[in-house]
Amino acid sequence: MKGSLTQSMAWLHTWGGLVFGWLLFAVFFTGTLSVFPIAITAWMQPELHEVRHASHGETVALAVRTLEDNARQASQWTIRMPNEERPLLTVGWRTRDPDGSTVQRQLDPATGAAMHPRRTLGGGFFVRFHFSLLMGRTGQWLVGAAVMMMLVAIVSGVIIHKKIFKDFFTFRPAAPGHRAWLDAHTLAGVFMLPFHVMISYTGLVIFVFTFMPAGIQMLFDGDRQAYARELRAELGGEPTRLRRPAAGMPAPMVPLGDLIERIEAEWGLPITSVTVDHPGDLHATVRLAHFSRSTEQVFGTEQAITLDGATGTVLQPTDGPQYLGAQGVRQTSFTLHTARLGGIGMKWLYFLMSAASCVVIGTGLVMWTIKRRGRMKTPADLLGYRIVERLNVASVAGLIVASAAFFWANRLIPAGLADRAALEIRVVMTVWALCVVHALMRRHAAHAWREQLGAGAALGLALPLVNAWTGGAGLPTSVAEGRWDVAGVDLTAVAAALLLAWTAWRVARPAPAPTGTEAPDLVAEPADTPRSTLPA
Amino acid sequence: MTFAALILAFAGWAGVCFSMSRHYRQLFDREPPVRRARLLRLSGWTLIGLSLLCAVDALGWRVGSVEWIGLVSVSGASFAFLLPYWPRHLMTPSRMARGSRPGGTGLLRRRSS
Repeated sequence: MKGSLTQSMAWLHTWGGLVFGWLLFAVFFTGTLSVFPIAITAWMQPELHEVRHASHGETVALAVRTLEDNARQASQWTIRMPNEERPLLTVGWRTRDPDGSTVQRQLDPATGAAMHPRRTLGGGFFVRFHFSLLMGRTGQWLVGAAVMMMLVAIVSGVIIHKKIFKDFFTFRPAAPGHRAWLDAHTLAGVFMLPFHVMISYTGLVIFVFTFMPAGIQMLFDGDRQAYARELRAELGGEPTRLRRPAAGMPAPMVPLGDLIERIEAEWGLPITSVTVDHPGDLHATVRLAHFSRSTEQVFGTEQAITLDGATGTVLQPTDGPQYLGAQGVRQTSFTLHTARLGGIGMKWLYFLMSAASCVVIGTGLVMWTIKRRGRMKTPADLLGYRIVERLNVASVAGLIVASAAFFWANRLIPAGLADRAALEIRVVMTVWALCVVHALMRRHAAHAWREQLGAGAALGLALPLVNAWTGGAGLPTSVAEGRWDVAGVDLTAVAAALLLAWTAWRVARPAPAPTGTEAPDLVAEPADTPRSTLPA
Repeated sequence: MTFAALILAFAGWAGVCFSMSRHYRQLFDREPPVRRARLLRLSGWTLIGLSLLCAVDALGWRVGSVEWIGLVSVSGASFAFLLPYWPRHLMTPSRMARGSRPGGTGLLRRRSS
């Protein structure tokens, strides 16, 4: 890595990108799917596809009736109203046992029937894999290191890109050698530059307490809660929730339904969550809250009020959380990273940009091999080359196949099985491992690419059929009834499958340059100056 | 409304792209006249600017500006990726009116590769 700045940056970009590229692809691919975790979870619980919305008033009445009939002796009641993310009404109560065990019921808001959707991590699987690789703190550090490398690759990539403006729109898919890949790599990389910087940086900021624990470690002995308390007190932000001990004297309550109705009329807004401490006690405390986030807001806001359950008088009018100073920066980073601002259009933009990031990483990995094809002199070099070539297949195409297998496993593993959520993940890991074995065993990497991309396409293309045949709302039903979360997963799977099939077909086509590891490379150029031979 | 912003940005990128002689040649097989190139560039950036106003009008400055950055990226990248696959005769009405000539109606990528 001697020589000019450009050369050393090219070296850094090439080798750093290769070492972390496999991990980065996994992080960005699962991150792409993490834009829509709620829709994926909805798809993965076909038991709930039939659930219909009921009017707000009926749902409130159902919740109150359920609590009064089943939990008169409870020490706490909770109600969470259905919303577009959760179709079910959730009611819960804490018993007066010494251990205070809680009961939670998920009800169909229209019929009141208790629902038992299958256990699955759903879209949460991709989210967890995205930030921790399902490996806890260790995984977070690994992802963090890869994302740091992403930032390094962004900066070094800009430095080594000599004709950033002249090549702005240049894409030559039919060009020989690695040039078509290079065009795709730089094109997506340059257009998505703001997204890449934003998503990498905010991703690190969200986990600032993991990556930079020193401050809290020294000042609060690592107690993050103590830090949060002091922060709140200092900023005068979020007021603490009013808690009253039980009086121990039973007293009739103002009907909960009436209280909710009164506050809704006062605010002109629906109540979205209810907490009642000590129902039926003289000190019954009712907290009513409305949570909302309009498309123009960066943060969601919660409006809450605390009432005396026995008299109905207001005990504490409160406001939602306030984010000030550095806390606001972190919260904004979180909002920006997770696409929790704007509407559905914003989410699709994030999905597309994140998919483009996968293209950047994938083409980068492929280019490393194409540029070195046939140039490995020693057997050791050739072995290393082949391993890289095969790991590329398994980490890009293999992960896609494994992710598609997750959706299949969700429907093919019986719904009643006890530890089926863990089993689903085991299927993903097994399929991925098989993809690694398959990639290593095939004689030509091109064949491995074609077969794994083809398998991914087949799994995706058949997904709407699997959905319809295993008890879910099929495409005609979901479209007709406006269940766009379920239909969206089906349609996206088909669209992605078509793209994969097209890619597999492109890989299968006789390439302009001879394929195979031993074939001579038509484009002879020094490996470390990737852009030097492009036509002006 | 943000769909309008997306379309405006896409059209804007087309203008910026064809103001460059490399891409102008893809369409017309000759260098762009200086004034036309300037006009294309100016109108391209103007359309991209208008798409910002469009996004801000729909979502306010805070969220609208974020969404605008996203849709400028997506529209630009999709324009550039689709460019080689776009049937050439659809892009030049004048050529269509003149009727095709040998090699003139192929896909853009035949010329550009």
